[in-house]
Amino acid sequence: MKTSVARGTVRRTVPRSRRRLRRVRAEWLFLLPAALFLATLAAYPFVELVHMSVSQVTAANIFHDWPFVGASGLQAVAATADFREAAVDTVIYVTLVVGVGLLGGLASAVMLWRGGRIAGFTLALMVFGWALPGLINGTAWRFLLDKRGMVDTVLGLFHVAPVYWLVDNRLPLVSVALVNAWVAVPFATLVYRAALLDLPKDVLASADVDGARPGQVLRYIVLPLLRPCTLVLAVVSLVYAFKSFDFIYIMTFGGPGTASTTLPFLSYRLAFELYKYSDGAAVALVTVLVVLVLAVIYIRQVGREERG
Amino acid sequence: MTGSLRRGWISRAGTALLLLLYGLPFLWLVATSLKTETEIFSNEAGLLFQPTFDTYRAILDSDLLQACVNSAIIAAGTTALTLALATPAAYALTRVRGMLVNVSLGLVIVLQITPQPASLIPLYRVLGGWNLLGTQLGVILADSALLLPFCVLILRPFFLAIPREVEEAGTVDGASPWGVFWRIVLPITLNGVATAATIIFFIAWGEFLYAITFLTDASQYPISVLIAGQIGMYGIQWSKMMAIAVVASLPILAIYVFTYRLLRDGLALGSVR
Repeated sequence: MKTSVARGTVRRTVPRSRRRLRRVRAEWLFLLPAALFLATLAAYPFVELVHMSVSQVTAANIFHDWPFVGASGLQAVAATADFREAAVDTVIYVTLVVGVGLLGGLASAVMLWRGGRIAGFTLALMVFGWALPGLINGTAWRFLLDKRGMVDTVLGLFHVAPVYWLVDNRLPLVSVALVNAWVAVPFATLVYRAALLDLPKDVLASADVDGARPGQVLRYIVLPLLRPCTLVLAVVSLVYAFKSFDFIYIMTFGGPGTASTTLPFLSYRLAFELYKYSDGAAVALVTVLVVLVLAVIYIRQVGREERG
Repeated sequence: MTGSLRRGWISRAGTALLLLLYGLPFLWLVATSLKTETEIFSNEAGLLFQPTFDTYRAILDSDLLQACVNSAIIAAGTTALTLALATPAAYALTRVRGMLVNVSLGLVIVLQITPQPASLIPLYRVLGGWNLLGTQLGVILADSALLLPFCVLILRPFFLAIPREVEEAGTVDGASPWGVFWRIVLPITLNGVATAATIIFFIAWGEFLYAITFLTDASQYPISVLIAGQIGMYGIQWSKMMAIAVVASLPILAIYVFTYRLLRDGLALGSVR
């Protein structure tokens, strides 16, 4: 309503058609530098990625012409055992990061809700963990999970035998995902914290007057009101976990063997360890297509939030 | 107000647990950097030991300082370029409606979710074509392309929060669209710009994949490449690694102390409202 009134005032001073023309041109100019930049350094690489995935690219011809092979390469890669294994690893990884991230974030936000100095300091400490680059967090945690590191030393105080966090079986994948979740929790905490501070105070107050128990307040009042924010946060975390690369690179390099190789990392290994550039591109493309579906959900969700 | 939920013993115990979960790793990291390699091996030491700065004396040489300078150049360059491009774009994307916006936003999000290694080979070709391989400018361009979509997504909610009337008033006063943006909109979104700048700087400071791939001369390596380069080797010297990690974290801590409040309040903006 307010905007239409304001627009009406403007229309009297400037003819509508001219005004609109100027507006459109100005916005183009605002978008143009970023658009040109992204077209050259992000969109063009993306087109090349598609091109590479339907061509035969080897170390010998990478800087020359690529013979076209069509979608057969894509199909062949998607049928390999490595791909299936990486797809399973990705699902486990993403589920852990998103699940632990969201639940941990919600729990932390409720714990720190009361405010005060200690809670404030704890939140600042957590967000610092989030702010540190994955490279530094990954390096630190690789040592903390080492058999001489903090985790096994602390467990040793309780007479637990050393756990080989980054060595045995599926455990490395789980360990790296949990470290990634350790970083995702502070972000979710911040988002939930903002949502908690935004809750209608009169509703919470009347729940208190009615003598609701903490569990009831949480279950029947707080959680339903946090639902929209949880949906957005879930998709943001999903995308974040899906493209995660730094932690795996630093902590396990996809190993031992291929035990912690997710799809983005498989794409990297195919291209840069085995020089199968087309296969690497194909895996990356499949990853992007999957995430694209998630992006559509994200856009629709954000659109609904903005309208509602 | 919801007193029992917020002030019960669970809340206190949870806070204590969080302090341990997020405090102990940092303590351990710093402690390890102050130990000798033998003390780390003996394993008994834990957090009780005689601290020594020997490791720092060993690593703090001109190479490490050069790496810090390189990191600063790359991170500052990336931050400046990304914000210069993203700020007007994010503003424009909140002020127009229709297909163009939806398509642009869709593209921004697709680029934002493409895993970083996917663009490594094509970027290698593009930068090679411009003779920018082996230069820090090449890394700055690549990092900016990686972070620009993310930056737009951080900034957008800040511009969405500005009431249109503020700008309409400027238009009536005869200001050009650029004048409205530069003199009216930007000053009231400085918090948002600072939030985005901080995050972009942090990520660019820790970026290593582009730097390790596109730079050829070791004297140009940022500190992130020094860390990532050592991680694959056998027999990592943990005291040394942790000392380098502490050195690499210090600039981030210094900035964080000043920008924490901005991050705390600014990060949640896009997801909540």
